[in-house]
Amino acid sequence: MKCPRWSVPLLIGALAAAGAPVALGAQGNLSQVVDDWEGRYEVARDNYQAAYQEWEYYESRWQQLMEEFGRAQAADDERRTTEILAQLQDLSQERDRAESALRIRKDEWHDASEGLISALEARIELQVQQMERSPVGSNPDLLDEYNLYSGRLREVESETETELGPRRELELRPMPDMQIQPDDTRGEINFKIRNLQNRITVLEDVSSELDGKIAQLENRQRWERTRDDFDASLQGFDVIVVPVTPRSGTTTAVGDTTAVDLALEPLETRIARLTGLRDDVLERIEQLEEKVEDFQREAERRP
Amino acid sequence: MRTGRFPALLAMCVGLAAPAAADGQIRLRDFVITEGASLEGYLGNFAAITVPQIDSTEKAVAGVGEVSVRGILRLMGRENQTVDVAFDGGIRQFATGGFQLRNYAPREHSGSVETMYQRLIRSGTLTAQTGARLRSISDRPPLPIYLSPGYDRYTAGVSYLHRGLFDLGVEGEIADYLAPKVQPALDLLDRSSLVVNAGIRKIYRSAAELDRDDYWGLRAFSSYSYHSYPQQGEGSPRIDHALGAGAAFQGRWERLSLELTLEGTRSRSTSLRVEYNAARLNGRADWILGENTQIGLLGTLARKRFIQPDQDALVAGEEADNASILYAELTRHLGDRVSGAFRFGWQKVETNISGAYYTRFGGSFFLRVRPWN
Repeated sequence: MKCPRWSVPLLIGALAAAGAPVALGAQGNLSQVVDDWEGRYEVARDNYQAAYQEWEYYESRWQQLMEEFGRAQAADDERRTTEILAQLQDLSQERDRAESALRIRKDEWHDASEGLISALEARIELQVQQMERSPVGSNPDLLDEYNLYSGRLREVESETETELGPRRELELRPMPDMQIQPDDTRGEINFKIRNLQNRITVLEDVSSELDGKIAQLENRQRWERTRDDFDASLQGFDVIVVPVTPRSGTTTAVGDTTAVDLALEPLETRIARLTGLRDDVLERIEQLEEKVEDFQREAERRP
Repeated sequence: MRTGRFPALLAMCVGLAAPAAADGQIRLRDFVITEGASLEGYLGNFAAITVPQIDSTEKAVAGVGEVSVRGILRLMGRENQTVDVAFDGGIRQFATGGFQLRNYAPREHSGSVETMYQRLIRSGTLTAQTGARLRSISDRPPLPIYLSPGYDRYTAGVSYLHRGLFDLGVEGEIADYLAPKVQPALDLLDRSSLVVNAGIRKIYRSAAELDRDDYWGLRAFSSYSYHSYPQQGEGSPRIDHALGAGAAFQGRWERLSLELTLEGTRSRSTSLRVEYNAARLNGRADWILGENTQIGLLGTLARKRFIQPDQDALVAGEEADNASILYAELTRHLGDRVSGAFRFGWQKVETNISGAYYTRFGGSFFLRVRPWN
């Protein structure tokens, strides 16, 4: 079954509106949506990679001919120059076509990755609800499925980020709240402890990823500020002003230059947002570690 | 020197910041205190209309101490609109040597404030900005030490960038040079300007690595400038109409950023003797050498040719025809809040008519502190 991209938010909306215990049927539908997007994602990624290889071939051939052209020109070899020009003309059409195809394939892959990520997020949300409502230990597969979908989500995000650049900000994913029930056995509590430890591991990964991003942005900010300092040291006291033709039509930009693609958000705002998110993650890790200790103490008391 | 100008600038800053501060929106984006010391040498036999003092020396030296404060305040930061105020103020004291008549001790005060409003609209970005810049200098020395005269300059402008591709902007400027009784020639520099510029740009990112912070781009631009000099011209004021065109390359990668701009100007005037064609090449590079070390380079080449073949009179404020400028600054970060920088600079400014020139060269050390980094 082909599921259109808009079906994911619709399905999530319907589930949220129901507010009732999640039906297994919905879980099945969402799994189908995920599978469908998985297929589309794989096809789009393969198409992009094929288009990239083709483009790379024409691009390297083009560069090669340009170098030959330069050499022929330097050697005053008119016959060879004309010959290469003709080849370049022929090649330019193929190169343009490959470049255009690459852009299209990249957009398609991007769209497919967005669809798959939305579907996986919806599926994880559903899994969380299911885990919260099921008696612990009654269905150990739930945790495995949760880990499977979470792992896949991180894999897709990482893959698309490496190839297509960062598309979305990191965020904390929903996780089920674990409580000890009066009738939980030691085995059931140990199962919950493993679950909590698993979550801590995931959050620690997220935290170190955030640390890396923050460090990268802070370096960029320091670089930008040093640039600004250099400019200011020359312009502040008119050090660089000399009695020649006055410059005209220049526009002074305020702040960092990262806003090249019109993003109004300056670096310090991006850093502050990621730092806030990392603090939330660390706080959640701390809470989970405390909970693990509580559960371990309680497990020792249970038969 | 007019008094009370700098307090007025400060009052303007406070006036701008107060409404946002009341809303609790105000945020300090950057704040840096700079202290610096320089040693500079000057050579040459240049003459400028606006520097009436004359000394027969062709060699002079200067020791310079300076302190300045600079920062950016975000007055409003909503999802699709922002208001920033950038401010910069400082004082610089010289001790000169090598003059025949007497050694001078010029002191410069400089302050500026610029407000920028940016708004994302459906298909582009609208930017409006106003600025004021005040500068004063006491005990201005004769050449070969060239220091800009004092002035009050006010600017206002608006620009629009459509879909990240096309830009169009208009900017107005009024510059009033501060002429003491003994230096009436400074009034010749008073100027009102209106500049319209338009450009087209394209930003590229490699297909394989779409890191949003790395890019390179090209921009082609053209401009029309109207400059009115009310104190120049006999009977009717001098009015210049200048057409400009140029291209710029800008790129940024993990450890390097590069900017190159080439522009040409064709200036025509109501005063035939000041008509000229000019070209200017500006280059800028920043290179990260290591975890804590960075080097910046800035260079300019400016060339001018007057239309009148027998042009032999100086034009106030534009006495030189050619300029070559090169500055390099090596910065070492000494922690999160402190950095030290060495700056080396060289300038040569010369005329086509008599071979007159001045050269400025020297080295500086700066200590920069960001107390609230």
